[in-house]
Amino acid sequence: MGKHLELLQGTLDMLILKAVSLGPLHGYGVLLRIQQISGDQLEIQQGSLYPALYRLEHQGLIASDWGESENNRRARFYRLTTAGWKKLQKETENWNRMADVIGGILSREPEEA
Amino acid sequence: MRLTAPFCSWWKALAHRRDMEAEVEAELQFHIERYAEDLMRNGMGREDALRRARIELGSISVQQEKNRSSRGLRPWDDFYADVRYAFRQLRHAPVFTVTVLLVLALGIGANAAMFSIIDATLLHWLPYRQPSQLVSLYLLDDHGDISWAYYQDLKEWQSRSQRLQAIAYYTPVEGFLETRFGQQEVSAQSISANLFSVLGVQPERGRSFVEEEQTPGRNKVVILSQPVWRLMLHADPDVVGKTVRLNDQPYTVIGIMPPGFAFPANDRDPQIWVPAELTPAHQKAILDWSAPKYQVIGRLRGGATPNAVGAELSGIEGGLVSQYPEQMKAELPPTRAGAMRYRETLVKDSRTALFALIAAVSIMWLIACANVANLMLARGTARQREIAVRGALGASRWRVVRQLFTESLILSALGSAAGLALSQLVLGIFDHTLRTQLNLPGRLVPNPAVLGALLALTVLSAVLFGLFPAWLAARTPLEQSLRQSTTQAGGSRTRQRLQQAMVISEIGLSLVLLIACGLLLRTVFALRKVPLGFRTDHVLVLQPKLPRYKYRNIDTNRAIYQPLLQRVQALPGVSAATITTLLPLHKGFAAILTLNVQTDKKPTAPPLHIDAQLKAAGPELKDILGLRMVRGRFFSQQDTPDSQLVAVVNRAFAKLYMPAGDIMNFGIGLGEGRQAKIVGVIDDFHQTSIDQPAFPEIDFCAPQLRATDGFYQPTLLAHVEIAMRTQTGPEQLVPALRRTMLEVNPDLQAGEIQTMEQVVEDSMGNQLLAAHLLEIFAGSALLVALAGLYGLLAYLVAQRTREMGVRIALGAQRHKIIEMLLGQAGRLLLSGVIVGIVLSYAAARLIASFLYGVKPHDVSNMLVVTALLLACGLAAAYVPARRASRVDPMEALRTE
Repeated sequence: MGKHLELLQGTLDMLILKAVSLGPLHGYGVLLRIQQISGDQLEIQQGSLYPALYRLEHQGLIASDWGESENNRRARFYRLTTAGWKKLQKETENWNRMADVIGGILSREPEEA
Repeated sequence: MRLTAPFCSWWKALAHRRDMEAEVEAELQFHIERYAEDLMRNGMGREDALRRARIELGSISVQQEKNRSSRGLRPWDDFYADVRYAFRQLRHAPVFTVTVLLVLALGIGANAAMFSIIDATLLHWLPYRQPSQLVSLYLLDDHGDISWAYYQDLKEWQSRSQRLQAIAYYTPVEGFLETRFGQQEVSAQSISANLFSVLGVQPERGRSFVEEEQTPGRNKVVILSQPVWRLMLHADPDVVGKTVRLNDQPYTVIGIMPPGFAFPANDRDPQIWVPAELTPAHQKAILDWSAPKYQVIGRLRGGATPNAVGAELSGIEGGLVSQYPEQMKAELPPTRAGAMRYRETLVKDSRTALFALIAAVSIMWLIACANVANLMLARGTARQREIAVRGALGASRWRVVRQLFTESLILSALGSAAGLALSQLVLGIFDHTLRTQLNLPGRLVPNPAVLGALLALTVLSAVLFGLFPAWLAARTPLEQSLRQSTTQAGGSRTRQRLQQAMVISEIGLSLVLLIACGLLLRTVFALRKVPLGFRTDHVLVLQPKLPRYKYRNIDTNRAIYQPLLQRVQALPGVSAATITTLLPLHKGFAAILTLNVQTDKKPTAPPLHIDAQLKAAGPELKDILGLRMVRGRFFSQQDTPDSQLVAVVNRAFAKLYMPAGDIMNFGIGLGEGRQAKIVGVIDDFHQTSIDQPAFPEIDFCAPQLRATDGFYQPTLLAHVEIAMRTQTGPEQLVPALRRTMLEVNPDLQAGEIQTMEQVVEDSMGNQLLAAHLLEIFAGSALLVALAGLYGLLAYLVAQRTREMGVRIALGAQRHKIIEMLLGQAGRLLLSGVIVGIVLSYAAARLIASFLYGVKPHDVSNMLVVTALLLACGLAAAYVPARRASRVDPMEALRTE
């Protein structure tokens, strides 16, 4: 699995918000969804997934309900709250700006400096 | 929504901890199974897949922990663990715990009681708008005595003062209200129409008075307080507009004040208010003695101080005196006006006592904290190993301090709870004294403000006695204490020094309280020894209270008191009884007569100015009170209405009269050509209070006075008491007296009956209260300090068991060991005594105003108290010293 990228510090929360914004998911589902979207390029430490989910729930960005999983077992499903939507929007904007700026800096050729 | 989410999550985590943990576990279990299924789909065996899934997720209990810290519960969980651990620790050391709790209960309890008292007095909540702007305004004479203001004065103040927003006035009047249960007495005030607006309070129902209602004919309106409305008129919702009968006259109810409102604020009886009627007497341009007078209250303009207002009004007053008639100007000393914050007028008599008591309870508290700190230090030594083990297992120093401090907080909280209970007990015991001396509103119940102060004190106590010992305990190097065994672990030098300092300050502070207590006890003793000048045994005093409105035009002396007196004189068990208008030490009505006596010698000399109390009494008074004559005779049965009018004066009067010649030649006119002759001089006795010298007095013979005499009105018509000498214990006569009073006139039932001894006791109230409270404080302080000394020595002895064993094994004499330890205790005691004596010099000034017959820095008192403290201290030290001398060397050496 050497091709996997390490997750950047502090980006897990944002990815979780994005994942559940596409539809309610249980914890394992969040993990799968992120891996799937990233084309299996990102590796998420399983141990840090749940503390992040609880933290987001505590902050009121996501909410949870118990429901039936795809194989008819009881599972906790997370969904995005209104506050979560706003947060995701803001974080996405910030990320894009940051990525542009950093990308701009890194792509600067020597003769331009 | 952003804000409510954390609270919901905390609530769930704290209140439904089990549910939440079960949910987390179910969720994680689901995750493991789903992951394992995926792994099995890739060809892994079930067992391996499950193990792999568990390992990747991490242990469930770790995940549970992380869940709680994700929700910001880590500090709370740590605290909770600390509390549980602390309780376990305290349960394992019952003697330590109980001792600490007792000491804290004493120290904090005294303060809790004091908080309640301060809250009800100094911080008295006043039900008015911005009560700190309200000031009482009054006239001051050249002695600094306060008197009410004439209507003309206050009118001038009202129109000319720049520093006052408004002025209102009031005066108590009689109030007998007709209710369903018959006539009931209420506290009635006759007030200016603007009083309530000056106070900034409007009636809850109905309206306030308007100015026209102060004119005669329109003034039959009344405003009720909530207690009157609820208790006497059963909260009739339509009462506004109805007519009630007050003093047998119809009054229309126009308003009801809101709940909690009372004015005057220190009046605890059900209140009503009527408009102050402005009669032609008010409007008269020229003042005379009978001009109406009022108590005055004003509201300060922003920034003005009472002193500035006093100065301003004095200026206005100076101009007014010129309007006084010639005769008044001559006799009235230059008048000044004064102002005092209304709140202060309510406590001005008890302020000093309160501050002294606050100092006393603070000292108590400091002693208690010092003592507990000492116990904590000793315990810290004993727990070194435990703390070292915790450190070795990875607890940070901060974590250890926090844990130890939690223990202190718990001890402090438990001690406060016990102290609160104790304070309620003490307040209950002193209920009567507190109420009469401080005019408190019934039983004191802790309110939120008091409880808040107590909570702050609890935390502060924990900081004071717990924080430093905890820091010291956590600072000890690990390996050193781990290597040592517990019995061997001696305290560090710092710790021992600290313990000694604590004991010394405890002893010093207790000595301060003991010295103060000694001074007050001496005062009470001296007051009791003062020759009163009259007898108090077998004397009963009856103070009738008749509703005046019913008897306004009736000569109650003739119609009621004379018949009552005859019935009382005939009662079996009464050997003598008399009417008197003034009894010694009674806080009753006193008419003051101002005499201008022309001296014989030089007609040009200014007249002699004598203020004297005026009294009328029967001839029996001399035997009843055992009065002594200096010259001449007292009244006798031969002084009848038809014989020569006689009067007696007291020695103080005679002394003042001296420059004018022989007092026996003095005659005083009663009008209509009637002249009273002085027939005797009675020896001085304490009329007003035990610590005040006798006031000049002139007495007339009651049976001789006629209703037309000038002195009849201020004496027999105004206020009459009946004094009697009994053959048996005076209390036994009370039921018979009550029956007689009812038979003579049912209106007499409200009368008060007291023994003369009770009257004397009550007049010493302030000193007695302070002495009793200080006895309790000083007693408990001494106990706590001695316990501290004992505890320290016992602890040191226990620490040195091995050393003692070695000494004895090497041949040390047992009495030498006792001497050595007592010497150590003696050094501590002496240092404490020096601290105490220095401090008590400052403290004595606080109580100086209460002392009588003893100087604040009385040496003998100090010596006696110090000797007592030293004796108690050495006795407390002897017990552990003796134990040390009895150490069996074999045992002591084998304990290792």
